[in-house]
Amino acid sequence: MRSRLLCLFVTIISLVAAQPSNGNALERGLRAFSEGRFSEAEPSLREAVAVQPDSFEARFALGATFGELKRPTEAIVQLQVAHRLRPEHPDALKLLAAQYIAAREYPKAIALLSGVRAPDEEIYLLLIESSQAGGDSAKSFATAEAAVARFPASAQVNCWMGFQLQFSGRYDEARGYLEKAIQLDAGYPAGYYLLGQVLLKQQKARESIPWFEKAIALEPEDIEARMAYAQAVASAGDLAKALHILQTAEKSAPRDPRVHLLLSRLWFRLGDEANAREEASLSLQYRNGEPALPDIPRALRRGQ
Amino acid sequence: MRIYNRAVIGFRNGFACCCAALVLMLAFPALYRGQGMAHRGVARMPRPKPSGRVFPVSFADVAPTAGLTAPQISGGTTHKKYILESMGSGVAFLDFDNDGWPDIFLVNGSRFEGFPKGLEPANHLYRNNHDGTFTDVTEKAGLRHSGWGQAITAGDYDNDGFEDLFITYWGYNVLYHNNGDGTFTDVSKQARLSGDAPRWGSGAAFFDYDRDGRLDLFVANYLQFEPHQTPLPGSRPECFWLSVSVFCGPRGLPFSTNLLYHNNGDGTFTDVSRDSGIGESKRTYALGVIAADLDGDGWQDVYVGSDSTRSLFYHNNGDGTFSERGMYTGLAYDDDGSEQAGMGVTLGDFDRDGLPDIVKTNFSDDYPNLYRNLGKGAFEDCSLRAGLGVNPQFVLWGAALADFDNDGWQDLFFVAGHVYPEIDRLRSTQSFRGPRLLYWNLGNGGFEDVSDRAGRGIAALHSSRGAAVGDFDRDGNLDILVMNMNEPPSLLHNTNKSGNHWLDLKLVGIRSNRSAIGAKVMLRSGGQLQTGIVLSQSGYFSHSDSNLHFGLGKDAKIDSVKVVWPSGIEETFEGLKSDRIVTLKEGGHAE
Repeated sequence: MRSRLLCLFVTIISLVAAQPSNGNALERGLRAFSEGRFSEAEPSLREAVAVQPDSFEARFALGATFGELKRPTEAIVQLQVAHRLRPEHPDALKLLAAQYIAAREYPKAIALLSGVRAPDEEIYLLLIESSQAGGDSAKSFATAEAAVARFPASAQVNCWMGFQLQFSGRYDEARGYLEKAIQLDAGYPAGYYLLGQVLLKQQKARESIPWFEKAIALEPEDIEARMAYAQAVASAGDLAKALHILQTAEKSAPRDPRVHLLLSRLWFRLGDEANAREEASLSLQYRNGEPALPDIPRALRRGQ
Repeated sequence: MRIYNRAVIGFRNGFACCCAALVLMLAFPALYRGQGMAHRGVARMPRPKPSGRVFPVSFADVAPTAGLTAPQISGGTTHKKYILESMGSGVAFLDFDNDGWPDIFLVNGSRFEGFPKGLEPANHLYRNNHDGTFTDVTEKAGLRHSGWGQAITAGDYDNDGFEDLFITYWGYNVLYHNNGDGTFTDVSKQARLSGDAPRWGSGAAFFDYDRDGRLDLFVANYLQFEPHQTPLPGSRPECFWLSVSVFCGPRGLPFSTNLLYHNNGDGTFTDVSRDSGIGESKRTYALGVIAADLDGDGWQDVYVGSDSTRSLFYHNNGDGTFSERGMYTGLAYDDDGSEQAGMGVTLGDFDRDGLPDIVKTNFSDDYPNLYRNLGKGAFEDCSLRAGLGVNPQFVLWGAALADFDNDGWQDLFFVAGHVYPEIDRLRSTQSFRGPRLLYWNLGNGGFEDVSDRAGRGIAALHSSRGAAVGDFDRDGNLDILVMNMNEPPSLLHNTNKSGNHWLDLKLVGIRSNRSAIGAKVMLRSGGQLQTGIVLSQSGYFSHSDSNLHFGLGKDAKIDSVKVVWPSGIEETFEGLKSDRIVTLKEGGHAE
C-alpha cells in the first residue's frame, strides 16, 4: 500500500507544482510525507487544509499522514472529505476503507467498498478483511472465493483464500492455495507464514518450521511469524530454542500481550513458575481490557 | 492465528459512537454485532468421514411418565430484560435417602413480574420409586423454597452418612442439612454460609482442600447485579445482538469475587476467601465449577469456567492457599489466546491416559473446549482435532463426559439453548431452542457426532441449561436429566443395545470425607486403564450421580480397581465382578 501511495504522491507533487503560493504548505507536506517524515508532514498539511479546505490533495494527503501516524479517527475525518470532493477517486475510497478497518468500523468499510461498481483486486482484499474482522466469516469466505475466481494470479488473493480455508479447517485445500501463492510471488511472506500455520494446525510442527523461517527471513519484523515459529519449535520439543525466539520477539514488541502469554506458557513447561506468573501478569496488563487479540495475520492486513 | 469477532464496542466509546452504531445497525443488521458476550465468529469445521459404525444407544424423554412435570421457570419466555433471566439453573441426581436409587433435585428460578402468593415456583425434590417413576416429596422434605435458584452441589459435609445440599441463588445461598429421615433443615445461618449481603452465587463445589476429612466449599459469584442499576436492553452498544436490542451483559457489568469456606467440623464454616487467595478479584464472570486434583499432586484444585473473560485454574498450594494458574497452564483461553464465553465445565479421561481432561462449553459461533491434560498441570485445547468444531451454531451449557454405550470410552454430551429469545425473529442460522449434542468417542482421540441418530430425546428442541448424568433405573446404562427453560425437565432414558458390560462404584470415605468427593479411581480391564473422579458439581450448575460408572465393553473381567482416596490413602481392590454396583469403603472393604 505504501509503495502505491508514494507513486500517488509523485503524481500529486507534479500536479501541485503548478499551484499558486498557497501550495507551498502542501508541497512541504507532501515532500515530508514522501521522505517518511510523517510527524513533520502533519503541520504543513494541516496548514494546507486550513488555507484550502476544499483541496482534495490536501485532505487526502493529511488523511494519509494520520494513517501513517496510526491515528485512524483523524484520518477518517480528512479522507471522508476527500472522498466527498472526488467520489470517483479510487485511492481515496480505498484509503478511507483501510482507515475504517483500522478504527474497527467494519460496517462502514463494507458499505463503502460494496458500493464500488467494478471492484479491483484491492477492493476485494479490503472487503475480505473487513468482513472477516467484522465477524461475518461467511461473507468473507464468499468474497474470497469471488476474488480468487477473478484474480487467480494474485498471490495476495490466493493467500486470503488459503487463510479462509485454514480457518474453516479445510487444511489440505488451504495448502493448495498457499503453495500457489508462493509460486506466484516468492517474495510475499504471508504465503510462507500461513502455510506454516496450516502445518502446525495439522500437528506437523517439524514440517512447519522451514516455512516460518522463510517468512521471518523475508519479514524479520513480523512478530506473528516469530510467535508461530516459537510454537512450532516448542511443539517439536526444543523448548529452550522456543524461549530464545520469543524473548527476541519480545524485544521488538514488548507490549504485545500475545508474546507474553506464550512466554508464560513456555516458562511453565520449563518448570519456572515465577517467570510464568510474571509473564502472565504482563500479558494481562498489556491486554488493556481488550477482550480478544488481533487474529487476521498482519501480513494479510491492509487496514493496518 | 484464528479469527475472532471483535465487534464489541465498549461503553467507553461514548454517546457519539452509540448514535453512529445505532444508525449502522439499522442500515446493516446482518453486519453489526454488538457483543455483550464473547464469541469468536468461527467457521463450522468440515465433518470427518463417518466411522461406518452403528451407534447402539438411543435416548427417549420419559419425564412426563416419570412424573417430572413441573416447569423450571427462568425469566421471560419471549423477551428477557435482564441477564439473570437467561442463566437457568442446575439439576441433580442424588441418593438423599440412601436406598441405592438416585433421586432427583431440580433447582428453580423466578420471574421479575412475580407470581400470585402461594404460586411461586419452587425447587423440587423427587424420590425415586424404583419403577421408573418419581414422587414429589419437596414439601415433606422441607425443601420448598422460591427464588432465583442457580446451582446445586451435594456432599455429606458433616460426615453423618447423608448427602446434604447447597444451592446458590441470586440473593442468599442456602445450605440444607439432610436429617436422615427424609427431611432437610435450612442451616445456612448457623453454618455461616448465607452471607451478609445478597450476591449472585453461580457454580459451587464441595471439596476437601486441606485434607482434613471434611468437605469445604467453593462458591463462584457471577457478577454484581441490581436490576435498578443495570442498563436496559438496547441502551448500550453491547446490548444488541444482530441489530436487535437484548439484555446487557455480562460485559460492562461489575465483576464479583469468588468465595472459599473452610469446614470447621462443628457444623459451621469460616470464610477463608481472603487468606486463601481465592477472594482476590480476577475481573472475571465466574460460572461453572469443578473441584478435583487436576495436576496430580494429591491436593484438590478448582477450575472455574468464566463467561467472556479468562477462565481460572486455582492450584492448591497445599498450605491453605491457592495460586491462579489459568494463563500459563493453557486453561484460561482458547488455543489462540482469545476469551470465550465459558459456562459449563466438566471433567473426565476421554483418552484413557490416566489424566483428567476438562471440557468447557461456550457461546455460539465458537467451539466447546476439550482441554487435554498433558501432565504436570499443563493442558492443550484439542477440540478441533477431536472433531468438536462441527456444530458452532449452538450456545452450549451443560456437558458430560460419560460412557453411554459402555464400550469403555467416555462420550461427550451437551445441552444447547440460546440466551436471546429474540433471535427467533431474525433471519439467522441460530435459534433459541436447539437439539442436544452427542459425540461418540471413537477411541482414537476423536469423536463422531451421532446427535441425529441417538433417538428423539437427543433431537428434541429445547433451550436447556443444567444437565446431570445417572442411572436412574439401575439398568447399567447412564441416563441424563436436563433442565429446560420455562418447561418441565427432560429425563432421557438410555436404551443401549450394545450388550457391553459395566461396573458402578459407590465410594464411602472413612478417613476421607464420607462422600469420597475427590477420590480418584483407576480401573484396569483387558489391560486397559480407565479413570474416574468423584465430583460434587460438574457440567453447568449440576450434580451427577456420585457413583462412578465404567463401561467394560465385551470383556466382563475386571483386573483391578485402585482408589486414591482424598486422604492420600491408596488401595487396590481385586476380584470385582461386572454388571453390578459395588460399594468400596476406605480401609479396603468392598461389598
